[in-house]
Amino acid sequence: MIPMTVAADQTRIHCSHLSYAYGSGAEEQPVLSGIGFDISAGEFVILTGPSGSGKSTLVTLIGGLRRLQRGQLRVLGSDLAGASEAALVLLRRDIGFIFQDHHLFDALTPRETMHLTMGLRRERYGKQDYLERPERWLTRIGLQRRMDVLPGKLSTGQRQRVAVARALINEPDLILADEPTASLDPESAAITLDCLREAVSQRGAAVLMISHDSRHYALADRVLTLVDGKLV
Amino acid sequence: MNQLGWRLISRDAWRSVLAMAGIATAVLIVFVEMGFMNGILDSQLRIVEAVRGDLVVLDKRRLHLDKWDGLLPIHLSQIAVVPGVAAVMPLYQAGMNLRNGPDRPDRRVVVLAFSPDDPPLELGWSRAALDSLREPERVLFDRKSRPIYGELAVGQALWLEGRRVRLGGYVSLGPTVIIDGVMVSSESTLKSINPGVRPIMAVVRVAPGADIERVKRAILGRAGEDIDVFRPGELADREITYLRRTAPIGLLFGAGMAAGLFVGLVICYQVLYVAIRRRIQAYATLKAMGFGNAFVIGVILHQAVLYAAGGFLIGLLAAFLLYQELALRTGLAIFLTAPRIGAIALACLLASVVAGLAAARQVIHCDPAELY
Ligand SMILES: Nc1ncnc2c1ncn2[C@@H]1O[C@H](COP(=O)(O)OP(=O)(O)O)[C@@H](O)[C@H]1O
Ligand SMILES: [Mg+2]
Repeated sequence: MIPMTVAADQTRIHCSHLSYAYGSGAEEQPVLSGIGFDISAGEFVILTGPSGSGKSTLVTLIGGLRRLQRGQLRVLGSDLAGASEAALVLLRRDIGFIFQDHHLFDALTPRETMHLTMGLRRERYGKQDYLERPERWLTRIGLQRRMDVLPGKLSTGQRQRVAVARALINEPDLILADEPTASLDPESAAITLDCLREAVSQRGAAVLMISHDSRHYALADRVLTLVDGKLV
Repeated sequence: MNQLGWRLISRDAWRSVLAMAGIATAVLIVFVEMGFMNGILDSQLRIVEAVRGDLVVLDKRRLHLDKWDGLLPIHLSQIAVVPGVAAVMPLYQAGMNLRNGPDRPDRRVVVLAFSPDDPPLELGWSRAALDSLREPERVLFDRKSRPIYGELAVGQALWLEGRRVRLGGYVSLGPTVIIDGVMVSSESTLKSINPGVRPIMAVVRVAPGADIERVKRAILGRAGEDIDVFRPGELADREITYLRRTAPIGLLFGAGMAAGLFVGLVICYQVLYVAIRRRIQAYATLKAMGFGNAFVIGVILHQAVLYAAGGFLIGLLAAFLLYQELALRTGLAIFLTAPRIGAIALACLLASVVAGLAAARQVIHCDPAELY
């Protein structure tokens, strides 16, 4: 039961011969080389590998946060080789980003953060959605009684859960998460993983999650391992 | 409407109020500089505004109203016979020592004199006061003069250049930067004290139905060698232009206002910069999520304008209170008008936009890839 949102092609990420280096000239430091893989709708993929192996670099390339240098990369149907900055901004609206840190605005309550995020997709929503959708998502992550308090009054885990709801509320077709549970309490970690699993199974989102935790592998359809900038 | 900018300010109330107070100080500086500049200019114009007539004739060498080159009597008679001239009313002016009581110190005062039958000025006198000038050695005193002359009561004796005169009433004009106080007398009283005095200007009333511009040209044609003729409005403009340009008043106070504005801009920038720095990762997250630079700049400009608006209102209130005090102490015409408030509000708005754009650079340049 996968809704067909991204055309008939179910490939959410197509990546081949991708290489990336920081710096240039004598300073050049290759980080990724010859990367190739596909991720389809409805797939939960974990990206693992030792620290410094280039996982975060790969995820920022896929998320349109960094410019492609060499190789092919198609994300949600957009070719990222030579894509304009404006095109990358639009692409990012269709991606749910979860970072290691929540990076919430200290002046916005969880409900307001949801409203702000929904503004990215305002063409989809009516008045009623602005009332119901934040409540539904904040309840989903267990913050039904903390919707209107400022982040300063929330625990770290609660804040991170708000960030998860922020990434998911617009129901993106692709979710990119970088060690989202690394510093979380067990309850928050479980809720976060549940939400990701649900996005995959219920609406066919694709998830690419960086994780070092081998207990997570069981959740995944596939595990990609990066060592020294190469998939092994 | 996006509420982020407003919430960032209002939920950081203490810091925001401090920021606004800083900006308000700069706004107050701008208001005070402007108040003094306009006070000097407006005070200088009070005499022009008091003119009751259609044209003002001055000696050509008299570049502005504080330079006292007089008209020659021949000019007056030349002008009087120009067709279309209904009346020529000379105004005399002399600087004199005024003593309020036999053992009081001398104080400089400007004496304005004219014929009480047909005054060229309207200085807010009562009928009785004006009538009293018909008697010899009567004077009127400007109630708005600086308070250096002591109490003057109607009927009391005064000494002008040692000559005993009597106070017949009051007028209402006000001091300038140079002139502390003004007295009014009849032409004959002034001439009896200072026989050589020459008129500093002649106010011309044009006959009903005559074309003022044509009469002006006719006067210039008849006596134009060493005189200038203005409509009162033109004279006011010339005076303002002179004070702004030739006298460095415009430059002096303009520089003060610019400095105040710049200080405000820097404070606004600094406050925004720090506030953005603290939240740079949240802004970077906005960019990662797909909010464009325009949105982020909008949020920052919103904050900049809110800071500036708060600072402006506090500054305006402080200026309002301070102006009353300054007007009282200096006797200058220091007051707020809607266009002046509007001009400073606009300047504040522009400065806050510049500050906001400058502070927004750090968000435009921040790299959301660094979040991973
Ligand atoms: N902005 C950067 N500039 C230069 N080098 C970087 C930058 N970001 C990461 N690196 C380097 O690239 C390599 C891969 O980093 P990263 O992608 O963060 O790996 P991982 O997420 O697997 O730990 C590391 O050696 C790191 O030091
Ligand atoms: Mg990393």
